[in-house]
Amino acid sequence: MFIDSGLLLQYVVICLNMAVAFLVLVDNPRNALNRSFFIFTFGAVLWMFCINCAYLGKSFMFFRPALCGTEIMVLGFVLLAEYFPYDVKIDKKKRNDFLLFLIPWLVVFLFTFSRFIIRFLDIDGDGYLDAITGVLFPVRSMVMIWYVAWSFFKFLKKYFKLALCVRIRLLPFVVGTGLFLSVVTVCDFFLFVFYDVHLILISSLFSLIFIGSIAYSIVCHQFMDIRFVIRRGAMYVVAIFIIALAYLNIHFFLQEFLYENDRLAYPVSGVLTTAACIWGFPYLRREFDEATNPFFFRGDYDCFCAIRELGGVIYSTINLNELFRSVGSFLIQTIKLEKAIFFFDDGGVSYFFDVGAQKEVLVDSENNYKEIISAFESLSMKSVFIKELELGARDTQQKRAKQYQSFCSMAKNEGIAAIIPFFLKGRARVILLLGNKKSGWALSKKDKELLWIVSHQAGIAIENAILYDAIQRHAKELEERVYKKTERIKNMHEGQSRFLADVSHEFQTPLSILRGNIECLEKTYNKKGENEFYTIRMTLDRLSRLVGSVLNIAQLNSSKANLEKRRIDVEKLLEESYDDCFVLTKEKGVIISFSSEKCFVFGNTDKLREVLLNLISNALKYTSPGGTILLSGKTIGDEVEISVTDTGSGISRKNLPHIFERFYKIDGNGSSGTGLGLYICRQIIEAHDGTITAESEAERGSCFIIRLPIHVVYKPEKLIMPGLQ
Amino acid sequence: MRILLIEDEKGIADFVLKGLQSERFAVDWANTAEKGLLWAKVNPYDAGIFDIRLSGGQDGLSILKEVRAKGKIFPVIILSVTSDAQTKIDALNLGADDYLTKPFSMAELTARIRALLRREKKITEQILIVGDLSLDTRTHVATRLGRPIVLNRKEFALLEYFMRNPGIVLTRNMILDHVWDMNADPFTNTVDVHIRFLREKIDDGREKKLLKTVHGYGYKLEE
Repeated sequence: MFIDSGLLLQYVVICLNMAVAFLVLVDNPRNALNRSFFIFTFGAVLWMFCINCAYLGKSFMFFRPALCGTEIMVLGFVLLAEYFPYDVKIDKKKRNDFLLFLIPWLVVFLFTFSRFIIRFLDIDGDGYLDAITGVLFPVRSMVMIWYVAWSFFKFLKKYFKLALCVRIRLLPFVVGTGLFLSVVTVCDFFLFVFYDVHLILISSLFSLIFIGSIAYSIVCHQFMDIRFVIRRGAMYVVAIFIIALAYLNIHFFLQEFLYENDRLAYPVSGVLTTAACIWGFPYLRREFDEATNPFFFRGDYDCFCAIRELGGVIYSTINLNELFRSVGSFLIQTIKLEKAIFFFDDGGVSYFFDVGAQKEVLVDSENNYKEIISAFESLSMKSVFIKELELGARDTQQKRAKQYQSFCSMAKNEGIAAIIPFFLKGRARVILLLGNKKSGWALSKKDKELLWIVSHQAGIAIENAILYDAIQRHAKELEERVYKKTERIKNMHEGQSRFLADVSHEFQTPLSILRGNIECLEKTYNKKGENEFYTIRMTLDRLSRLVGSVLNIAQLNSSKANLEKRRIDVEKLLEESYDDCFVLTKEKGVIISFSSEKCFVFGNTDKLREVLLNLISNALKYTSPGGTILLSGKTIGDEVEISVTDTGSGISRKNLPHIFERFYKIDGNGSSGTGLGLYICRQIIEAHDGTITAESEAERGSCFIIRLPIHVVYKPEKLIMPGLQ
Repeated sequence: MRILLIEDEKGIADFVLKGLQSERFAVDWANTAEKGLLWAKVNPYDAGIFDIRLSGGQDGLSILKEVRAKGKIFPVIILSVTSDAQTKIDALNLGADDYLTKPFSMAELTARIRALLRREKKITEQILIVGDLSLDTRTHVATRLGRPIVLNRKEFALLEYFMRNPGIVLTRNMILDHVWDMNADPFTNTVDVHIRFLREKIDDGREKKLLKTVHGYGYKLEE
């Protein structure tokens, strides 16, 4: 009875072990650690199963597979130690060494099926099995122990190299391994060697603890959250319960329904339940996940969603503080942090930006952020997670450990859980201080991965923002400089115009005095010096005309010269000009004519008339009797073109480009002009936003073309009122 | 005839005084605005010559404004160095009767003063008559001895100006100012040519020439 109940327990243990092995393998089938664990557990299960079968059937047949199981177990353990703690990558040379190292195991494994290791099995008086060992059994045992001892040593060596926080997580692994190995060594080796096989089954019971703890460690260490495993287990329990309930109900109902053929009820209810399972299981699973999410994964987030969101957040703005605010808020919301503070240091400018408070924090305020930052910079580390650093501090040299510990306590006092620097051009110009999680849990691997991504992605965005800021500052500076310079030039220009105006103004008074006195003299001396007086008077006239012209130019140039403008009918303007000079042209024998479309410009009538008369007088001066002068006005696009064309002597190609320049006089024409006439014309036309150009061919005439913007008055369309017919 | 000259520039005042006195005018010269204003208020003048720019507080235009506000209606000529239209318009709006740009000749000033002093008060008359020449300002038709004379626009304006100032010497600048509304003549001979053409129409073939040349000064229309 004892054996029976013991064996039943063994089977349960076997089943559980196998289930755990599969769970771990399925969790991460590509990881060598998980595979090794599966090999190990498979060996253990094979061993236990065969031992049990051997006891149950009292058969020697199962004993050799049981030994095989132990050897597979050893192999699994060797592999585990090799790949511990986390899928260590093994290069080719190491791999070859490792394969050579496994040759003794292979030899022993092959000899297991021979008589040299176990000859046969005996059953003693109490019904216990008694194995009769072969010649090589001690050798095999020594080899296996050597393997186990070597692996265990290696395993411990690796284990103590690890950081404390990792060791804590792997503690069940070590305890389980140690416990199991000691039990197996005692029960299955020493007692076996001394021919006591009564306790051989106890070791297999310990395998459950061992395998369970290893499984927990592997899953936990890889951050394949143990909560997943628990939830999945719970989920299957619930599923089985529901399926069983469904099956029983269907069966009960069918039995009632088919009370004559109640045998049919079994297969039918089976089929119905299966169908219901196929249809309902995914639904059940989804519902269960959703129902348990708040319990198991409070504060959890989807990594892909978070990354996608991060992308949006980063590209939403190019302003630095805005970027701090958005990235910080994103982290606070996603990881559910208490706070996030950015530290920005740009050589000259440095400040903290508290995301929660949405404002800049003074560097020398009450908190010790500045000290934390300087301590962090002195550590010269990449990102720092305070909890890990605190645990890891014990492993390092004493001096360093002290530094770490003081840094950690300082950070903890301010509620800082992690410090993430954003490296820009190899310098941490932006450092992010993160508070604790609101839940109080430590930052998970997922959180850390997300922070890593953020530090890289946001780093680029922050760099862009800094550059953008610099460019903007620079642009603004340039703009200001240009504005100042323009203003200065404008002022200088203005001053020049004013000076010119003042000077010409002041000239007029002495000129008046001179002229008046010359007249008096002329009267006194009457006809005696007529010629000389005439010359003086003419020169004075010319001088005052020149001064008047300069004054005119100065006024046109001055920004205050807001010419009084109104709508001007071009046709009328041309007609008036024609009237003004008709008699003059007739006198010289030149024919003047004008033709104009009805068009309007916006300008100062006096000034435009001055321009026209100037041009006509020039034309008249250079046109010989019999020639013609044509005034014309027409619309071309959105401009009005006014032209004065003559058939005079024209302007030579050499002179043509310069005629609108100030004081430019065509040499050799002996004119008494000031050389400012056409220059003033250009000034006036330019003050009207127009252009004036000249075309000419020597001896054939010239044509002066003025182009002015057309003035259009938009009149509302005529109202049509049918009722008022 | 008593004339008030307000001018702070001694050089100008000197020759104006000399020139006007030689023409038998009595001239009071005020060299400050205050003095000028006081005199204008208390003395009866027949005409005034105000410089627009005076050193000290007030300028010629504000003096003119106050004088006109006191009800003094004697004709006033404004002297200025700027010839821009706006200043001119301002001055005329404030009640100035003429506007002269520096530098000016004494003859010009004298002619203008005479024109102002002898100006016909009835400027709204529609038919102007000088001797046997008449001009209908509505129809723009002149008749001499009953024979109609067709005038173009400029000729009409020219003749009207002469007929409104019969017997007064009008200088070229005055004519240019009044008929062409210009300060400078780009053609240099606009007035002379027009006078010649007008003369052809009204005087040619007639025994008595109405339009006379005053050598060195200008023209006058006289019976």
